[in-house]
Amino acid sequence: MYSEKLENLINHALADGVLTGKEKQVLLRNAEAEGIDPDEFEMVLEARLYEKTNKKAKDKNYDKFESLIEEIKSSFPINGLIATKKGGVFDNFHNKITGRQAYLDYKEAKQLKTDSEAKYKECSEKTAEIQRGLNQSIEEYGRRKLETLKRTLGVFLSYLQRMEQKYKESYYELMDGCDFPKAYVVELGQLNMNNNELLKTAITTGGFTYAAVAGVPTAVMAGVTAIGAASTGTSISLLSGAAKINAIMAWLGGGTLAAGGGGIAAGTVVLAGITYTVTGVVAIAATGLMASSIMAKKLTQAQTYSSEVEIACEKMETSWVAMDGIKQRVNELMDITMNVYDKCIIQLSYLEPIVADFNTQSKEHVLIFQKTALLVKSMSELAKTPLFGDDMNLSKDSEAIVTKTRKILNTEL
Amino acid sequence: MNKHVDKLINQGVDLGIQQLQGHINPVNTFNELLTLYKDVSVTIETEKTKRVQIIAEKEAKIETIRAQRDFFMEYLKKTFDERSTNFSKLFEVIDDALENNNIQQLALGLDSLNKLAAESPFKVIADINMLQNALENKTEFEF
Repeated sequence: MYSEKLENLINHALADGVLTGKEKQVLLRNAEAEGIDPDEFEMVLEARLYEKTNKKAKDKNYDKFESLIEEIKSSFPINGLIATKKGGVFDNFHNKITGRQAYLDYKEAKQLKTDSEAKYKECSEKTAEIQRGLNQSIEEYGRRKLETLKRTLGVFLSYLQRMEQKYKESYYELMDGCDFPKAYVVELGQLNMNNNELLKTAITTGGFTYAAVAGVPTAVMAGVTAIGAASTGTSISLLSGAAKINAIMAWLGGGTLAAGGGGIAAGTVVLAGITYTVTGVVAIAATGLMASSIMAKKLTQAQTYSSEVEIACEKMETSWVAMDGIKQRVNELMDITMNVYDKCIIQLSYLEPIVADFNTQSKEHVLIFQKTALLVKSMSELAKTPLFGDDMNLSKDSEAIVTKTRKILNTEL
Repeated sequence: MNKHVDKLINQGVDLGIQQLQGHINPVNTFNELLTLYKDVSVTIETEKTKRVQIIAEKEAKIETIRAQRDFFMEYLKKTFDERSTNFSKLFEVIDDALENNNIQQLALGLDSLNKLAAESPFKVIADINMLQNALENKTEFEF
């Protein structure tokens, strides 16, 4: 800034951190000789003096601080050793005071959160996949149930109509003789009608699933019409197998999260705030300590969340077992239905040629009719069979579904 | 290190240094620091204890859930195996009745078939309380 000579003079004068009057006079004289404005020079001089004295004070404080740290180190001996060893008291102290503990806790909390979210996602996706597969099986069973009933009961009833036209008055006597009372024929007629209605509307109304879960209704009520009419909306969701399955899952405990259980939701909310923010930074050590305290709590929250996820995933795994059980039930009913259906089709093929000339006195004719009638009756009973028995005491939610469904159908499931 | 935490700690370091530069009595600072350190240590230890408790409770719950699941799996396996055997036997009866024109046997076979089909395989575990009681009392179920 100034000449080398003047700079040297300034450094010498300020070397002890004090500027005497004489030193100041000499410096001003030399500055004026070099053509420097004395006021400006005096200002620069004061600034340099301040800088010099302040640095000294700083160095002095640093020395004291360093000695304090050494004092702390020597104050925490463990088994005669200075506790600077990793994991020792000073190490812990150091971790907390510098914020390293906070960082470690933060890192662990974040990892827990990430791992938990990944695990929950994986479990949820698998649950959804299993549920989709189960629903497909249920729907397929419902479809088969309706179609096979149409091909058996529908055809059988058409034969009965032809026989009724032929025998008129004596028709019901014939039916009674074959252990097929009039009331039952009427009931089967209604069953067939409902079955046909369900078949017509099943694709758009979820009727297949309904038929599988609840069974084909027999009562002469607005139930089937309601199913058909409600192509969208709440009533269909109530009738769907998924709703009932969800209720069963809730009963088992696996579906509570899917149904909005508080565990994960609460955990997510808590951890949304895991991003660390501290506004009131006071000093180096206090910052580290405060961070350590906050992050310790965050880590606890993360642990809570992680535990909730683990429990939820265990419950979901239980729901997989439950859904597997339901699938076995679907397969069981499907196998039985198809087995009886095959036998029924064979018997109908024997009955069909003799319908026009049916002879009540013919043992062979009566035998064929009885066999067919019994198999059709069995098919009808199977069609009415719900996937889950009435004895299955489900959760309050599922009871509500059943109640609402009954209301819609105005019949017993 | 996370940038955010790093930045905050650096800010703290800078401010701390500023305060140390002639504004703080090092001895007082040290004493205050130790007090704060003690408080934070208590918090950290408390939180550690909480975490240990959370993990212990979680493990206990998981153990119960797994026990329920194992029971459920075992029950379903045995139930469906038994039902499958019974259905097979009933179809043998039905086939035999159809072949031998035995209407009574056919009626009986089909009736039994329908009754067994209508019987829910889940009925025994319908009441979760019963399941829990069974587990708590270590009841052995006969299938």
